[in-house]
Amino acid sequence: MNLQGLRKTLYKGIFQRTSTFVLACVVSAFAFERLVDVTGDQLFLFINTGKMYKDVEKKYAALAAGSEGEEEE
Amino acid sequence: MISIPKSSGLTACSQIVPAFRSQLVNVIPKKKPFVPKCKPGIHPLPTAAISACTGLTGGSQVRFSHTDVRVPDVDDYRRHGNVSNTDKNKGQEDAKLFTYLMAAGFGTAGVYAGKDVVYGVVSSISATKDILAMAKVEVSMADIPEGKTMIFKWRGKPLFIRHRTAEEIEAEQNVDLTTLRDPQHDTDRCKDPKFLICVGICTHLGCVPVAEAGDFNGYYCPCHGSHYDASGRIRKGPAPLNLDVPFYEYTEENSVVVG
Repeated sequence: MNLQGLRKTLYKGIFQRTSTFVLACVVSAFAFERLVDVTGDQLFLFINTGKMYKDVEKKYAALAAGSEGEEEE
Repeated sequence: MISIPKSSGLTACSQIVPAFRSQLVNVIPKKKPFVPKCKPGIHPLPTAAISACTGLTGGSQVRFSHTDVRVPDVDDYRRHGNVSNTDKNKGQEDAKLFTYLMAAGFGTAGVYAGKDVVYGVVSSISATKDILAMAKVEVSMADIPEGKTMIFKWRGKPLFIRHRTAEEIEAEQNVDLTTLRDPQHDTDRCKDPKFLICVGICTHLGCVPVAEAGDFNGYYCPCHGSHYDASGRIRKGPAPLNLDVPFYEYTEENSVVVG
Protein backbone atom coordinates (compact mmCIF):
# COMPACT_ATOMS: atom_id res chain seq x y z
CA MET A 1 0.00 0.00 0.00
CA ASN A 2 2.79 2.34 0.98
CA LEU A 3 4.73 1.32 -2.09
CA GLN A 4 1.67 1.88 -4.21
CA GLY A 5 1.36 5.37 -2.72
CA LEU A 6 5.01 6.05 -3.50
CA ARG A 7 4.48 5.01 -7.09
CA LYS A 8 1.52 7.26 -7.41
CA THR A 9 3.41 10.20 -5.88
CA LEU A 10 6.35 9.57 -8.19
CA TYR A 11 4.12 9.50 -11.23
CA LYS A 12 1.93 12.45 -10.29
CA GLY A 13 4.81 14.53 -8.99
CA ILE A 14 7.48 13.93 -11.61
CA PHE A 15 6.62 11.86 -14.64
CA GLN A 16 3.24 13.29 -15.49
CA ARG A 17 4.56 16.67 -16.66
CA THR A 18 7.38 17.11 -19.14
CA SER A 19 8.69 20.14 -17.25
CA THR A 20 9.13 18.28 -13.97
CA PHE A 21 10.43 15.27 -15.85
CA VAL A 22 13.19 17.31 -17.51
CA LEU A 23 13.93 19.11 -14.26
CA ALA A 24 14.25 15.76 -12.50
CA CYS A 25 16.64 14.60 -15.23
CA VAL A 26 18.85 17.68 -14.84
CA VAL A 27 18.83 17.58 -11.04
CA SER A 28 19.62 13.88 -10.95
CA ALA A 29 22.42 14.39 -13.50
CA PHE A 30 23.93 17.00 -11.17
CA ALA A 31 23.58 14.70 -8.18
CA PHE A 32 24.98 11.80 -10.19
CA GLU A 33 28.04 13.83 -11.20
CA ARG A 34 28.71 14.90 -7.62
CA LEU A 35 28.32 11.33 -6.47
CA VAL A 36 30.73 10.00 -9.10
CA ASP A 37 33.30 12.74 -8.42
CA VAL A 38 33.25 12.45 -4.66
CA THR A 39 33.28 8.65 -4.76
CA GLY A 40 36.17 8.67 -7.21
CA ASP A 41 38.19 11.07 -5.08
CA GLN A 42 37.56 9.10 -1.93
CA LEU A 43 38.52 5.89 -3.68
CA PHE A 44 41.72 7.47 -4.97
CA LEU A 45 42.62 8.75 -1.52
CA PHE A 46 41.83 5.38 0.03
CA ILE A 47 44.01 3.49 -2.46
CA ASN A 48 46.87 5.99 -2.05
CA THR A 49 46.74 6.25 1.72
CA GLY A 50 50.20 7.17 3.01
CA LYS A 51 51.42 8.40 -0.36
CA MET A 52 49.66 11.74 -0.57
CA TYR A 53 51.51 14.98 0.09
CA LYS A 54 49.53 15.67 3.23
CA ASP A 55 50.76 12.37 4.65
CA VAL A 56 54.44 13.13 4.04
CA GLU A 57 54.20 16.88 4.55
CA LYS A 58 55.68 16.85 8.04
CA LYS A 59 58.71 14.86 6.94
CA TYR A 60 59.58 17.28 4.14
CA ALA A 61 58.79 20.34 6.22
CA ALA A 62 61.26 19.09 8.82
CA LEU A 63 63.84 18.42 6.09
CA ALA A 64 63.39 21.87 4.59
CA ALA A 65 63.66 23.54 7.98
CA GLY A 66 66.83 21.55 8.69
CA SER A 67 68.52 22.51 5.42
CA GLU A 68 67.56 26.16 5.84
CA GLY A 69 69.07 26.19 9.30
CA GLU A 70 72.30 24.76 7.89
CA GLU A 71 72.47 27.38 5.17
CA GLU A 72 71.96 30.17 7.65
CA GLU A 73 74.74 28.90 9.81
CA MET B 1 -27.20 -26.49 -32.48
CA ILE B 2 -26.26 -25.26 -35.84
CA SER B 3 -27.89 -27.34 -38.35
CA ILE B 4 -29.14 -27.14 -41.79
CA PRO B 5 -32.85 -27.72 -41.80
CA LYS B 6 -34.75 -29.43 -44.52
CA SER B 7 -36.15 -26.30 -45.96
CA SER B 8 -32.79 -24.86 -46.76
CA GLY B 9 -31.32 -25.22 -50.16
CA LEU B 10 -27.84 -25.86 -48.87
CA THR B 11 -26.35 -29.23 -49.53
CA ALA B 12 -22.78 -28.72 -48.39
CA CYS B 13 -21.59 -31.73 -46.51
CA SER B 14 -18.49 -33.68 -45.77
CA GLN B 15 -19.89 -37.12 -46.20
CA ILE B 16 -21.74 -38.94 -48.85
CA VAL B 17 -25.40 -39.11 -48.08
CA PRO B 18 -28.24 -40.75 -49.86
CA ALA B 19 -29.94 -38.64 -52.39
CA PHE B 20 -33.27 -38.38 -50.66
CA ARG B 21 -33.54 -35.21 -48.70
CA SER B 22 -36.38 -35.93 -46.35
CA GLN B 23 -33.93 -36.72 -43.56
CA LEU B 24 -32.01 -34.09 -41.72
CA VAL B 25 -28.43 -33.96 -42.74
CA ASN B 26 -26.28 -33.14 -39.80
CA VAL B 27 -22.94 -32.19 -41.19
CA ILE B 28 -21.53 -30.19 -38.31
CA PRO B 29 -20.39 -32.04 -35.20
CA LYS B 30 -22.49 -31.31 -32.18
CA LYS B 31 -20.08 -29.31 -30.16
CA LYS B 32 -20.76 -26.45 -27.87
CA PRO B 33 -19.51 -23.34 -29.63
CA PHE B 34 -16.85 -21.29 -27.91
CA VAL B 35 -18.24 -18.22 -26.24
CA PRO B 36 -15.65 -15.62 -25.28
CA LYS B 37 -16.01 -14.12 -21.82
CA CYS B 38 -17.30 -10.64 -22.09
CA LYS B 39 -18.21 -7.87 -19.76
CA PRO B 40 -21.90 -7.48 -19.12
CA GLY B 41 -23.36 -4.95 -21.43
CA ILE B 42 -21.19 -5.93 -24.34
CA HIS B 43 -23.09 -8.19 -26.70
CA PRO B 44 -21.40 -11.51 -27.23
CA LEU B 45 -21.17 -13.16 -30.52
CA PRO B 46 -24.36 -14.94 -31.51
CA THR B 47 -24.55 -18.52 -30.38
CA ALA B 48 -27.69 -19.54 -32.09
CA ALA B 49 -28.25 -19.91 -35.78
CA ILE B 50 -29.11 -16.72 -37.53
CA SER B 51 -31.97 -16.82 -39.90
CA ALA B 52 -32.40 -14.44 -42.71
CA CYS B 53 -35.38 -14.00 -44.91
CA THR B 54 -34.40 -14.28 -48.51
CA GLY B 55 -37.60 -14.17 -50.39
CA LEU B 56 -41.11 -15.32 -50.96
CA THR B 57 -40.37 -19.00 -50.51
CA GLY B 58 -39.67 -18.57 -46.84
CA GLY B 59 -36.84 -18.20 -44.37
CA SER B 60 -33.51 -19.75 -44.88
CA GLN B 61 -30.72 -20.26 -42.47
CA VAL B 62 -27.16 -19.15 -42.92
CA ARG B 63 -24.34 -20.47 -40.93
CA PHE B 64 -22.66 -17.59 -39.14
CA SER B 65 -19.03 -17.78 -40.00
CA HIS B 66 -16.56 -19.49 -37.73
CA THR B 67 -18.38 -19.22 -34.44
CA ASP B 68 -17.11 -22.66 -33.63
CA VAL B 69 -13.48 -21.78 -34.18
CA ARG B 70 -11.66 -21.41 -30.91
CA VAL B 71 -10.19 -18.02 -30.24
CA PRO B 72 -6.48 -18.56 -29.70
CA ASP B 73 -5.30 -18.38 -26.13
CA VAL B 74 -2.98 -15.39 -25.81
CA ASP B 75 -2.61 -15.46 -22.03
CA ASP B 76 1.07 -16.30 -22.35
CA TYR B 77 1.63 -13.05 -24.15
CA ARG B 78 -0.22 -10.90 -21.70
CA ARG B 79 1.57 -8.77 -19.16
CA HIS B 80 2.05 -10.36 -15.80
CA GLY B 81 -0.79 -9.36 -13.55
CA ASN B 82 -3.02 -8.64 -16.49
CA VAL B 83 -3.78 -12.18 -17.48
CA SER B 84 -7.44 -12.07 -18.20
CA ASN B 85 -9.66 -9.51 -19.72
CA THR B 86 -11.43 -8.95 -16.44
CA ASP B 87 -8.52 -7.58 -14.44
CA LYS B 88 -7.58 -4.95 -16.94
CA ASN B 89 -4.94 -2.31 -16.08
CA LYS B 90 -3.89 -4.07 -12.92
CA GLY B 91 -0.27 -4.39 -13.99
CA GLN B 92 -0.29 -1.26 -16.11
CA GLU B 93 0.81 1.13 -13.34
CA ASP B 94 4.02 -0.78 -12.77
CA ALA B 95 4.70 -1.00 -16.47
CA LYS B 96 4.16 2.73 -16.95
CA LEU B 97 6.40 3.60 -14.02
CA PHE B 98 9.10 1.29 -15.30
CA THR B 99 8.97 2.90 -18.73
CA TYR B 100 9.20 6.38 -17.28
CA LEU B 101 12.01 5.42 -14.93
CA MET B 102 13.99 3.99 -17.82
CA ALA B 103 13.39 7.15 -19.84
CA ALA B 104 14.45 9.31 -16.90
CA GLY B 105 17.55 7.19 -16.38
CA PHE B 106 18.63 7.52 -19.98
CA GLY B 107 17.74 11.21 -19.87
CA THR B 108 19.99 11.68 -16.86
CA ALA B 109 22.84 9.88 -18.58
CA GLY B 110 22.25 12.01 -21.65
CA VAL B 111 22.35 15.25 -19.69
CA TYR B 112 25.56 14.15 -17.97
CA ALA B 113 27.22 13.16 -21.26
CA GLY B 114 25.99 16.31 -22.99
CA LYS B 115 27.34 18.49 -20.22
CA ASP B 116 30.71 16.77 -20.53
CA VAL B 117 30.81 17.35 -24.29
CA VAL B 118 29.86 21.02 -23.94
CA TYR B 119 32.40 21.47 -21.17
CA GLY B 120 35.12 19.96 -23.34
CA VAL B 121 34.27 22.13 -26.33
CA VAL B 122 34.06 25.33 -24.30
CA SER B 123 37.31 24.67 -22.44
CA SER B 124 39.04 24.00 -25.76
CA ILE B 125 37.99 27.49 -26.87
CA SER B 126 39.23 29.24 -23.76
CA ALA B 127 42.86 30.24 -23.31
CA THR B 128 45.31 27.75 -21.88
CA LYS B 129 46.96 28.16 -18.50
CA ASP B 130 50.35 29.18 -19.90
CA ILE B 131 48.75 31.90 -22.02
CA LEU B 132 46.80 33.11 -19.02
CA ALA B 133 49.96 33.17 -16.92
CA MET B 134 51.71 35.23 -19.60
CA ALA B 135 48.78 37.61 -19.71
CA LYS B 136 49.39 38.77 -16.17
CA VAL B 137 52.08 40.99 -14.79
CA GLU B 138 52.94 41.49 -11.15
CA VAL B 139 54.48 44.78 -10.10
CA SER B 140 55.91 45.75 -6.75
CA MET B 141 54.65 49.21 -5.85
CA ALA B 142 57.55 49.95 -3.53
CA ASP B 143 59.89 50.26 -6.53
CA ILE B 144 58.04 53.23 -8.00
CA PRO B 145 59.23 56.60 -6.72
CA GLU B 146 56.62 59.18 -5.81
CA GLY B 147 55.66 61.52 -8.60
CA LYS B 148 57.06 59.22 -11.27
CA THR B 149 55.51 56.90 -13.89
CA MET B 150 57.03 53.53 -14.62
CA ILE B 151 56.28 51.69 -17.84
CA PHE B 152 55.81 47.93 -17.95
CA LYS B 153 55.00 45.60 -20.79
CA TRP B 154 51.62 43.96 -20.47
CA ARG B 155 50.09 41.84 -23.27
CA GLY B 156 52.35 43.58 -25.75
CA LYS B 157 51.19 47.01 -24.66
CA PRO B 158 52.86 49.60 -22.45
CA LEU B 159 51.40 49.80 -18.96
CA PHE B 160 51.75 53.06 -17.03
CA ILE B 161 51.89 52.90 -13.27
CA ARG B 162 52.13 56.32 -11.69
CA HIS B 163 52.86 56.95 -8.07
CA ARG B 164 50.99 60.19 -7.54
CA THR B 165 51.80 62.89 -5.06
CA ALA B 166 49.28 64.13 -2.53
CA GLU B 167 48.80 67.39 -4.47
CA GLU B 168 48.10 65.50 -7.69
CA ILE B 169 45.54 63.29 -5.97
CA GLU B 170 43.77 66.27 -4.46
CA ALA B 171 43.77 68.16 -7.76
CA GLU B 172 42.38 65.21 -9.74
CA GLN B 173 39.70 64.41 -7.21
CA ASN B 174 38.42 68.00 -7.27
CA VAL B 175 38.09 68.25 -11.06
CA ASP B 176 34.61 69.33 -12.17
CA LEU B 177 33.25 66.40 -14.18
CA THR B 178 31.17 68.69 -16.42
CA THR B 179 34.35 70.09 -17.92
CA LEU B 180 35.53 66.65 -19.04
CA ARG B 181 35.13 65.15 -22.49
CA ASP B 182 34.83 61.62 -21.08
CA PRO B 183 33.46 62.25 -17.59
CA GLN B 184 34.83 59.81 -15.06
CA HIS B 185 35.66 60.47 -11.44
CA ASP B 186 39.17 59.86 -10.18
CA THR B 187 37.94 57.31 -7.61
CA ASP B 188 36.42 55.24 -10.44
CA ARG B 189 39.79 55.03 -12.13
CA CYS B 190 42.04 54.19 -9.18
CA LYS B 191 41.44 51.58 -6.54
CA ASP B 192 44.19 53.14 -4.48
CA PRO B 193 44.39 56.94 -5.06
CA LYS B 194 48.17 56.83 -4.67
CA PHE B 195 48.62 54.78 -7.82
CA LEU B 196 47.20 55.29 -11.28
CA ILE B 197 47.38 52.19 -13.46
CA CYS B 198 46.44 52.64 -17.11
CA VAL B 199 47.31 51.33 -20.57
CA GLY B 200 49.76 53.70 -22.25
CA ILE B 201 48.07 53.87 -25.62
CA CYS B 202 46.57 57.14 -26.82
CA THR B 203 42.88 56.67 -27.55
CA HIS B 204 43.23 58.81 -30.65
CA LEU B 205 45.41 56.77 -32.99
CA GLY B 206 47.36 54.50 -30.67
CA CYS B 207 50.63 56.33 -30.04
CA VAL B 208 52.37 55.97 -26.71
CA PRO B 209 52.00 59.18 -24.69
CA VAL B 210 54.86 60.79 -22.85
CA ALA B 211 54.56 60.70 -19.07
CA GLU B 212 54.73 63.78 -16.79
CA ALA B 213 54.24 66.11 -19.72
CA GLY B 214 51.53 68.25 -21.28
CA ASP B 215 49.39 71.09 -20.03
CA PHE B 216 47.96 69.05 -17.16
CA ASN B 217 51.21 67.44 -16.11
CA GLY B 218 49.80 64.01 -16.77
CA TYR B 219 50.46 62.44 -20.14
CA TYR B 220 51.06 64.08 -23.48
CA CYS B 221 50.74 62.38 -26.83
CA PRO B 222 53.30 63.89 -29.21
CA CYS B 223 51.65 62.52 -32.35
CA HIS B 224 48.62 64.82 -32.46
CA GLY B 225 48.88 66.73 -29.22
CA SER B 226 46.45 65.09 -26.82
CA HIS B 227 46.80 66.18 -23.21
CA TYR B 228 45.85 63.80 -20.40
CA ASP B 229 45.75 64.73 -16.73
CA ALA B 230 47.32 62.86 -13.83
CA SER B 231 44.29 60.57 -13.75
CA GLY B 232 44.77 59.60 -17.41
CA ARG B 233 41.67 61.52 -18.52
CA ILE B 234 41.58 63.34 -21.82
CA ARG B 235 41.56 67.12 -21.30
CA LYS B 236 42.75 68.65 -24.55
CA GLY B 237 43.48 67.52 -28.09
CA PRO B 238 41.88 65.10 -30.57
CA ALA B 239 41.64 61.93 -28.45
CA PRO B 240 38.02 61.01 -27.64
CA LEU B 241 38.41 58.84 -24.52
CA ASN B 242 40.38 58.55 -21.31
CA LEU B 243 43.35 56.21 -21.12
CA ASP B 244 42.14 52.64 -20.62
CA VAL B 245 42.28 51.25 -17.09
CA PRO B 246 42.87 47.47 -17.11
CA PHE B 247 41.57 45.05 -14.51
CA TYR B 248 43.99 44.80 -11.63
CA GLU B 249 44.09 43.57 -8.06
CA TYR B 250 46.28 44.49 -5.15
CA THR B 251 47.87 41.61 -3.37
CA GLU B 252 49.34 41.75 0.08
CA GLU B 253 52.97 42.89 0.28
CA ASN B 254 52.21 46.10 -1.63
CA SER B 255 52.23 44.65 -5.11
CA VAL B 256 49.65 44.63 -7.86
CA VAL B 257 48.67 41.95 -10.38
CA VAL B 258 47.42 43.37 -13.66
CA GLY B 259 45.30 41.19 -15.94
